[in-house]
Amino acid sequence: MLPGVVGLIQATEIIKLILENGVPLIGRLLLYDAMKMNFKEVRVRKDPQCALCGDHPSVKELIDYQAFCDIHLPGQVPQDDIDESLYELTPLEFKKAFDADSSAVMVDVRETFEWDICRIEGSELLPLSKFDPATSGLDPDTTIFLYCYMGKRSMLALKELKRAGFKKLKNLSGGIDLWAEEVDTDMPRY
Amino acid sequence: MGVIIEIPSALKQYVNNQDEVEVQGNSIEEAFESLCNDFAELRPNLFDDNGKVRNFINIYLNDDDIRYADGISSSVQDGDNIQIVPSIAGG
Amino acid sequence: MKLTNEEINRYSRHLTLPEVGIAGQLKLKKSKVLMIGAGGLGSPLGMYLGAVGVGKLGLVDFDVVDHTNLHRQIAHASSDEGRPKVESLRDTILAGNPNIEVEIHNIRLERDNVLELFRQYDIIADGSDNFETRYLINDAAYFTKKPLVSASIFRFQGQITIFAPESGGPCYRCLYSEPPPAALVPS
Repeated sequence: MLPGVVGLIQATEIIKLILENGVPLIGRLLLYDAMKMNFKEVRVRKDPQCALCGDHPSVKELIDYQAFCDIHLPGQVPQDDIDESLYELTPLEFKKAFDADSSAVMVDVRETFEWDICRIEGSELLPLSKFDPATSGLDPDTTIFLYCYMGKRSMLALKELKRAGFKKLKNLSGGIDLWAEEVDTDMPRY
Repeated sequence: MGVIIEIPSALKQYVNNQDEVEVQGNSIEEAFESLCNDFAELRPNLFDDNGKVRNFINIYLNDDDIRYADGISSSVQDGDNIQIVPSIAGG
Repeated sequence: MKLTNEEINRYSRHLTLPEVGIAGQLKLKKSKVLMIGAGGLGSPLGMYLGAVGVGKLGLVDFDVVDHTNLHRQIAHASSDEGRPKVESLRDTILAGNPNIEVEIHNIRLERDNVLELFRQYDIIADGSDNFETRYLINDAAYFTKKPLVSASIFRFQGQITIFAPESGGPCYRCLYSEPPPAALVPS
């Protein structure tokens, strides 16, 4: 229901702009919190240092937005040297390889609320938001099978492990979502 | 009485799922120092290695951005409200 | 441009509001709004903008209706599963008000198609679901001098504002100069 409330405020502001009537939400950011059920407003100012509309803009035409948004967590360096395809397994390959290796460990890096919805049997939960190879308790000598919802977060965890010296790493391509489609069709999808 | 720091949903997991935390301090910096001492995992999400507020986080003191006051040196008083607002992109 | 008798009757409760009136209703009829995202925000946004008589609505989305969308993307019905979202939303809007024009763009917004698209509209509405698109929309709205009505949601919180640097207001980059690291963005 949250998008309904927010989308209708957006509609109201558009109608006001068209009618050139009322006080528009320019320079004001409206914050809506459904759990507290409150609206708050904070001031938004034009930033003289803005890269686009500031006094000395550096963005003078459209840029590469994928590169612009490819930002890493504090302390992380970009892992462009890692060839992701070397670690990706399809759901069936992932299952087969895990079942064949009795010492292997399967790690779910999703958040707790996702783990509560569904999980792959035999996995343990280490959410990415708190993921740290040093305190994970994982053994660098065993093979670590990683998965998340779609395969993106588990690849981030895989790269952290790789940097920490882990060598035998596998990622579930397509995540638990594809697993539910191709391996365990009784699993609920979300 | 102290200063209330309001925590957005995106960061609640780092503060035992609280909506707001009351802390002591005479400046934004002191208030956040106190907050991050209690909840260490929060710090890298708010500040970079040089202690600068991260670019996708805004901090508002009584509804105005501290960037346009004295940044994290801005002084605070008992009863002030500090709001952390992160960039969100859902649609 | 005039209102037909059917339109006068349809919008009569607007026409009697001093803030709207015939002049306001004609402004709505002449206006063109481009909406990016036909999902959670785009559903109610498109349905209301269509119902009140915005003359032309552009819908941009490349996604199809999924079962998991239905509980909140209220323009899409169970029978729309698998259809492009822009088609499903268009049909819902036109079922409510057949007087308006709805142009659908079943595409991913990119660097090489955004500017031409924005130039054909008066106002841009951002209801997209990722940071890349949000920065692309912001920059393109700035370069084409269009006001950007922006809304975003995460869990139980929403943020709404208007970016209008042309009128002296801030832009999205003034508010947030960079997106969060990928690891903090739920995927």
